[in-house]
Amino acid sequence: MSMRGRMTLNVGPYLEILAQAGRDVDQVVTDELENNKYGMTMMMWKYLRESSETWTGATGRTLFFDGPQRDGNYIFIEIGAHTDVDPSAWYKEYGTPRQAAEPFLRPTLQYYRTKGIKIAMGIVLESFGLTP
Amino acid sequence: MTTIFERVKTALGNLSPAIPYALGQRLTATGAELPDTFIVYLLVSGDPEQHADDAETQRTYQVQVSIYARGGLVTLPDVDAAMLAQGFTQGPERQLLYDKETRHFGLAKDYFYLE
Repeated sequence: MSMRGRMTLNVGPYLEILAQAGRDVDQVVTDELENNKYGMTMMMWKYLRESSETWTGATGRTLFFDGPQRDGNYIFIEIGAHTDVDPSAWYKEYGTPRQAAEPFLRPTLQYYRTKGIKIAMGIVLESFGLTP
Repeated sequence: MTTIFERVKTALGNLSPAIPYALGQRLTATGAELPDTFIVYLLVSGDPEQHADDAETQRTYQVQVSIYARGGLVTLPDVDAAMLAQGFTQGPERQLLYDKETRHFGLAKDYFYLE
């Protein structure tokens, strides 16, 4: 069992501009997810590292990304932690009766939902000479 | 201005019957047991949503409220009603791993507040 994060990003207006410019939207999205999956994983790692008083790296090694994958019209990546290998990431994210939670997955998803993906899409449009 | 922590504290303080709650972690005196039922809350994230004229105009807060209970998860305090009354919206919830040492079951519920 793994702890995974999934969210839908409101990038419709950006994709519409790309489509109107004759770009292959599916390919652009796939490329963007490919380019950003390392950044997302590193942000999780950063939150995890910053909130750890002692750092052995064991929890960090359970972090993963998977994709880009395709399911019908949906193109996505999955990020998270392999908690079946080591449940410490679960304890860090959600806490226990005796351990305060120090979330790393949900802040990463929130950052990309509110800001990160907009920056990334802005760069894509700019590279094609388009404006949002 | 009311902080997000005040909003959560007000909500949890309105629970009836009263349930002990704490920010981050419930601490006990050395050797003392944790209560049979208690609540812990924390801020998961607070991200700007919208800007206008170089100023932030909207921000979303994500808050986790964890309910721990030795008696299981069938009958729990009505945290949803208390949080909704303070203007929060409900997010996902998940069952936490059973803690064999403290003998608590747990349920973590996420709430969002747009300010």
